[in-house]
Amino acid sequence: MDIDQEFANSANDPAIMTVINEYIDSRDSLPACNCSGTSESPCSGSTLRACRKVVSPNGGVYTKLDQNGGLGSEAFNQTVLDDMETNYNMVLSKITEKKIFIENPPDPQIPDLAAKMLAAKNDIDRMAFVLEELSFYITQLRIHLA
Amino acid sequence: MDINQEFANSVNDPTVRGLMNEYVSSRDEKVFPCNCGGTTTKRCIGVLRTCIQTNAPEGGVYTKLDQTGGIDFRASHTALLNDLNAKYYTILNKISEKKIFIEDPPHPEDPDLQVKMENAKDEIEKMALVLNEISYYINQIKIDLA
Repeated sequence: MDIDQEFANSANDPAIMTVINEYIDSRDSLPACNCSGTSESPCSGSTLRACRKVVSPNGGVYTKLDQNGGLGSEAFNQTVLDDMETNYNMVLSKITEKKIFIENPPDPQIPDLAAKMLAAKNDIDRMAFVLEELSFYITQLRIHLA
Repeated sequence: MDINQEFANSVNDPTVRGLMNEYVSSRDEKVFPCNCGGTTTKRCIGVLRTCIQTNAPEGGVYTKLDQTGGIDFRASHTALLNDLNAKYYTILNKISEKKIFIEDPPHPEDPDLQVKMENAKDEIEKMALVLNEISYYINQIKIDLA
């Protein structure tokens, strides 16, 4: 599935909600590629934003070979790639922050520590899904710009 | 699916084949399986080499929280991460090389040019799949080390 706003807003930490929503904005600025219509072109996600197809052109990976995939200019794609790399590092930093909290809680005596640790674990797992999707798009864009 | 030797050996260019086989060997030798079998709450990927689970511990993403997942030795994970990163960029460079060949063939009069270009496109698509898989493992290990 594509990460969506509902998924982002189910995070416990508002800062994480924001980080995930920023990623969604970056991703949604990418044009859809033309990968519908044939049985040999399974699309990734539900919005045809990226597709994995064995034979180019028409969709496939985001390469310069796929000219009719609706891709924007090189400069635009480079900007989206830069944004996504920033998003990636921000999400990874947030994961580090949550792991530090779990492994070394700042106030071990607080009564709702167990609930907070569980919430942090859930946020880590949620962010791991985001990183997985982000890295897919980053790779497609890097291939496109290679 | 996991990229395997059969997939690697279906590539025409021996150099690309070599790169893919190096990746497969490295992955199979160094990436630990995590403990994600046995319950319905755990969605395993491929051959149980990694798994994604909503709630840690046991399986889940490669985090320090998942102590029962067979994950150990930060040093070996850092070495593996460096190794996978190097392979990622080597393959990305190969993709770039193949794209240059297609977009600006060195010998436009070559009678076999059409076939060579088709082979190059096929190799780009296959290398893209390998990059997607490598980036998945890179993510998991980065999260583990975060």
